[in-house]
Amino acid sequence: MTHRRGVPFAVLALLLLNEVFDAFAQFCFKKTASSQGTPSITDLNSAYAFVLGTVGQGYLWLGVGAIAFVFISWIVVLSKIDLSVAVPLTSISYVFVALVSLIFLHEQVSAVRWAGIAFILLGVTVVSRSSESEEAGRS
Amino acid sequence: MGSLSLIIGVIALSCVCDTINHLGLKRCADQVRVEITGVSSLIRFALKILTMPLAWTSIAFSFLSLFLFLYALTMSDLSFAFSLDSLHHVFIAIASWAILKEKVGLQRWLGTLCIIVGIVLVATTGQH
Repeated sequence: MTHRRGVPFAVLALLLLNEVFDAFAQFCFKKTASSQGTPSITDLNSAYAFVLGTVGQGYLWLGVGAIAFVFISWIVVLSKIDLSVAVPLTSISYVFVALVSLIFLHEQVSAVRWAGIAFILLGVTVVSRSSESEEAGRS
Repeated sequence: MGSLSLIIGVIALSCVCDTINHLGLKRCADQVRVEITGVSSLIRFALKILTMPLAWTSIAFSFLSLFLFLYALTMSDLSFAFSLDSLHHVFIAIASWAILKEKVGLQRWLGTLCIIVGIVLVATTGQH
């Protein structure tokens, strides 16, 4: 490994893919939960019935598959960069959520929220620039 | 809102569990000596991870962290809980430095604090 500053592009791309799949999994689980109407979960029996009702849902298994992908890709990321770099970088998902809300859901994004997003983007950039090829010592 | 100190305590505990989860996964990632070059090596990498007790311990802690956070949500506003949850970035930075011996310099700290400010701004401004 050569000595260079910043997170390698491939790792960054995998992290972004990781966040997209994570969001997709949450979407699938929300779809699964919504498919059950508004169940009243009051005890173990009703909780069991609720879970049993979701087992036949395609969205549940799509979500489980996405989570499995997220788990593996996250460990691949961790094998490449520092933990104290990888975890802060996951905050990029807040920016995605804001953009998706704005573009697809036509939600209003306030000025303060944009400021927050700018802070997150700045922080993510600064943290990723602080990654000084930790791989140099390994592999 | 429930008792403030209880909410803060439960979320802090949730952050601690999340930090343990990531520390464990990082250890697993560092222990697997499989160079990922293609699909077959990726599968070998994944299978090796899944045979590690530490990986399953980490998954258990991530569930524990989620349950604690959901418990906190039953007592707290989402915006407050979400803001406080960004505390895990501080725990991760400290644990990475103290336990994993990563070099967490001034730049990384400043970037991390910047992200926390951003999360708090995003979380506390509500829908509009």
